[in-house]
Amino acid sequence: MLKKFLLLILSLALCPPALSAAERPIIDIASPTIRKLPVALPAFAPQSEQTSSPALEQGRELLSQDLLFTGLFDIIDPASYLGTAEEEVNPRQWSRVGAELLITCRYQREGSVLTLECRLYDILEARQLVGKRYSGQEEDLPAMMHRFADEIMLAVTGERSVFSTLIAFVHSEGNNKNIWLMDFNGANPRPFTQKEGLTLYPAWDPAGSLLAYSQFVNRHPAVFVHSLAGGGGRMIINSSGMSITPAFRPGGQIAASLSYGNGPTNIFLSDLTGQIVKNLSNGLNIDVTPSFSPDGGQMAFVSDRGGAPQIYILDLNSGQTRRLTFGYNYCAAPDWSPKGDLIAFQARTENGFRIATVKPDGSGLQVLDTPGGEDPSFSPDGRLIAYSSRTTGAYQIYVVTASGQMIGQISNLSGDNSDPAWSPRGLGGK
Amino acid sequence: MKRHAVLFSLIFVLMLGGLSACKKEVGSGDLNAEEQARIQAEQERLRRQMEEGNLDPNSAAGQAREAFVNRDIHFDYDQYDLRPDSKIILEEKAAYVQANPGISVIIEGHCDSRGSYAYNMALGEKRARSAAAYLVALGIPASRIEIVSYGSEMPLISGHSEEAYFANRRGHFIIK
Repeated sequence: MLKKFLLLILSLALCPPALSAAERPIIDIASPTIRKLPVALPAFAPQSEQTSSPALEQGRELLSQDLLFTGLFDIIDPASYLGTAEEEVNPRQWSRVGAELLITCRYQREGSVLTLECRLYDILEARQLVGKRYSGQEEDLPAMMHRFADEIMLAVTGERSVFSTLIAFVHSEGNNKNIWLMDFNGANPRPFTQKEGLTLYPAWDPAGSLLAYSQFVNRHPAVFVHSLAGGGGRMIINSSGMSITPAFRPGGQIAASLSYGNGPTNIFLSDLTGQIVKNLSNGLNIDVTPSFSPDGGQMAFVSDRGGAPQIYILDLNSGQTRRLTFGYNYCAAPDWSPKGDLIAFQARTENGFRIATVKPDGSGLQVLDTPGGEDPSFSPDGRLIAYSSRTTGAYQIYVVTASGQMIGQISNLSGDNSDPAWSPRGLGGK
Repeated sequence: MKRHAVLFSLIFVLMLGGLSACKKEVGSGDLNAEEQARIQAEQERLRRQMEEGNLDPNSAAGQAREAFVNRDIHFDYDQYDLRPDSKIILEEKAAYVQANPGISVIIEGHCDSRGSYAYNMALGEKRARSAAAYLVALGIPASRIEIVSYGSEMPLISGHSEEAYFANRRGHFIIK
């Protein structure tokens, strides 16, 4: 038994081991009650005494934080471990301390090059699920850890997680608001736009190469599209009134809420150059904040057509509109999960705004137990929701799982930090 | 010009009447709180104007202009319909615009800090539009009115008291 296990380790270091794991996820993330998986994560071990580096403790800390960020794992206290990352894996040593998964990382330095060999073991089935080797400079350590954390998630859930994503948000400084970017966990906050006045409502295109937003130009907000590669923002829609809350429709279009002169605010569909294709709403009501289903066939939006703001869904094929939210007298800021199964929004409750989720057919409405809650945005795997709240005074950005488990506050900047927009995968972590 | 001053005092008295009527109607906050908020807001506005140094409070024309710019109209929570006191103030604005054929005005719609930022941007525009429509009904050509909204992005008073909310739910007037 043990002999067989050792062989597996040796062979799987050569072939891509994640393939078999991806076929059979360990956790059914669709399950409403997810039991957290107990994980052992011993200290990273040097390949030899000479290359020992205390700085690598940071790697373990990063990996640990990434795993906790998903809400899927408990990390068992290292003080109880009977084994180390240096030794050959003895599953019984790890199962005795309650571990179902084991993560080991060994490292080696040659000059300035750091090489990490990281493995994930299924202790119950005594097999390696993932084995990856990463080489780079010391400053690449966070990127290596984020990459491996995504591999762990792929093996455990069948899908990579958020560790290569960014969050765009609105940051205030004095009377100016600008679009900023930060890593999925709030690390490395930096300005994306640096303009005078108000720049609001960031929205990603499905490929993650463009951000749309509204910027005030001569007192009137216009819609801009701005490549992440640089080049500054390009104004594409400047109606004579307001052009606000842009949203990309999968397939290469943009919806935005527009008013002309002193006329009403309706949602229009344009191509990426700003050429209006058609209007998606009519009438004298307020219609704002479109968000599309992953196939682009349906659009959630906010309207006051029934008196107070509520969320409605327009079927773009049939042209039919139906009301989605009931039971709360103020519902706004819908965000359709990239997985298609849920729509998150802000609902006014007796205790102020909370993040709520509902299925696109209107069933299963659930209010999450979040402190405050405005402007939700789903992570690309649909498991997490970023939102803003001012429970501590100024607005900051928080993350909660879609099932309501609080992950924590991720922004910690001066001023107000609000309206997060979670990017698709593959942008962050270098 | 003295007559103007008398007229304004009269309007102010009427306005207070309108306020108290409204208080009963909506039952939100007490009159003193609203009055205090209004006074506080006007002081704040005056302070900003004085810093900018673009008006001479001693001239009669300056006073009329000041009254036009400094007196906001207010709205009930999540509403864009004009309150009775707002209509009185708008009638005063209309008279000023009629008396000054050379000017065009900007009406800014603002919201309090509760609610969705994006929805409030549209609500602020609707408030400005309500005010503009009333001025047009009073004979001001639409071409002399520009409406803009800042939603809840530019509160006049910070904080989360009823007084601050009331002061921030406003239509503000600027001479172009």
